Amino acid sequence: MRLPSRVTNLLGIALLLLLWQLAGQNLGDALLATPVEAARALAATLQEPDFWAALWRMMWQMMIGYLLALGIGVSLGIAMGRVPVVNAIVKPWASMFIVVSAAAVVPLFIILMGRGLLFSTAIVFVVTVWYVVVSVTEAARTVSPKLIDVARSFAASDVQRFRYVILPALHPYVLIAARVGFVHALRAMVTAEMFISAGYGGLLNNAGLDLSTAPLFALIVMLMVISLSATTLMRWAADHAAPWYASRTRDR
Amino acid sequence: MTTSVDAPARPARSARLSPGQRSFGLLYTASVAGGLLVWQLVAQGYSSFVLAPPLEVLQRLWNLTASGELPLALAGALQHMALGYLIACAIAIPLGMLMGRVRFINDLVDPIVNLVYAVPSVAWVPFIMIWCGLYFEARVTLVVIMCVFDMIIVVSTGARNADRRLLDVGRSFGAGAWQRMRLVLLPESLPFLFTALRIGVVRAVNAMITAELFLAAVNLGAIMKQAAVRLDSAAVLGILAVLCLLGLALQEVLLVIERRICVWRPRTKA
Repeated sequence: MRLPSRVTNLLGIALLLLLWQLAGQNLGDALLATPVEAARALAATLQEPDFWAALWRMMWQMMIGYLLALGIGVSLGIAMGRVPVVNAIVKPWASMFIVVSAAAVVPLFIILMGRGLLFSTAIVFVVTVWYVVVSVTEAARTVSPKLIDVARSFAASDVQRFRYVILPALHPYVLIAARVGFVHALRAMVTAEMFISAGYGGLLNNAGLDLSTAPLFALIVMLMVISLSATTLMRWAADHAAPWYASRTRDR
Repeated sequence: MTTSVDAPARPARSARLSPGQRSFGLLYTASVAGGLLVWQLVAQGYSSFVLAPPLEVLQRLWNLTASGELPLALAGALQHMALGYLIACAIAIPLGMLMGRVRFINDLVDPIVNLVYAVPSVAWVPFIMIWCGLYFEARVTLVVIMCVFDMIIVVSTGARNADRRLLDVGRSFGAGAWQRMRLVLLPESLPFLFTALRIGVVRAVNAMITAELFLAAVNLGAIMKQAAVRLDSAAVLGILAVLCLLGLALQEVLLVIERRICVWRPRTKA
């Protein structure tokens, strides 16, 4: 059953590439570069030092905001999930901020912080943190009461219950939150950079002005690769680092 | 697999109004009021070019509304938002259902959806400009692109997790394919369809303002951009508040409709 589904997966991608190739050949590369041309452009792009500089700049700036968001988001999320008062205080702000998009806060943040490192980091943080908070809150709230009761009947203190029951139970969800957060962090970072036309976003904007769409596709494919490899890595980490997720009854 | 957990991160929202939490209504209000107060105090330390206090924002919003600028812009913005959202629903719901119920289609389409979903939607903007120009069509396209993949993922995950036993009961009572579809699958699907609609509508609001800022600046985007150039932070914050309220209101409307339609849900959910 496993092999056929893999084959169909590949078939789907192959069909897409074929359609893309045919459409690209008919429309010309100003409108739609063919995958072959895109691959060639990708190879050329990968040899440009400018590209790597822009990519590196985007990634480290994003990582600062992302890691901050993860650290604060997870702690805030756990607090919200376990302490109803904290939840009541933060919830209205969380639901308010989560509907605001990266694009809409960009003009405000430009006024507040200029266009430097603080700007992109702050945008990534503000956009990412609420997604982390919301998913961790849900997870923390639904930690099975049975587990906590067992710990309590074995006379575990508050700290012990937190350390040995709640935290391990949350582990897989934190990794899921990290994954969801990463997607949003990347979205926010690209939005911010495209708005101020700096770094990788600037490259994307410039590629859009090109006569051929092949370099644009090359940049988009790179984003795809980054996002997919990061999420795959985190999914793998979640599956391997949290064996108790499958059988919750087994203790650490 | 842990994939299915992505989507249900949100749906528990309906559980928020359980009776035990009603007493926190006061704390909610206090928190919002406290936040506004902190904002007011912080803003007093800054020049109003940089960070306008809430009262000034309110006043600016009132000015914008009274001059008719804001309602007009909002009406214009809602047009492409609504059209894009409807198109996205028309694509995502049938495709998602098919992906959830037919294994072959899922295997065929799922990798493509994941690949495209991985790319931040804004990155398509240069491409959209080439294809659809800068105006209405381009904005609608961006809204569709931003909404459709989130919705497909929620719908297909939900449809895949539909309870087999329910369908089997239908079959053993001799229900035809159409009856199973209408009487079993549809009610079973409504909750996650509403989740998809809710996630989609928030994405649509986001996409709407993204489109207006990144393509030709019109409507709300134009107000925001001009205000940003003039360092008129009151107007920028005002539009931001409007967008935020719009998103929350649309979400709430869908929640109310969901509660009206899925009356059986709380019983089965517990």
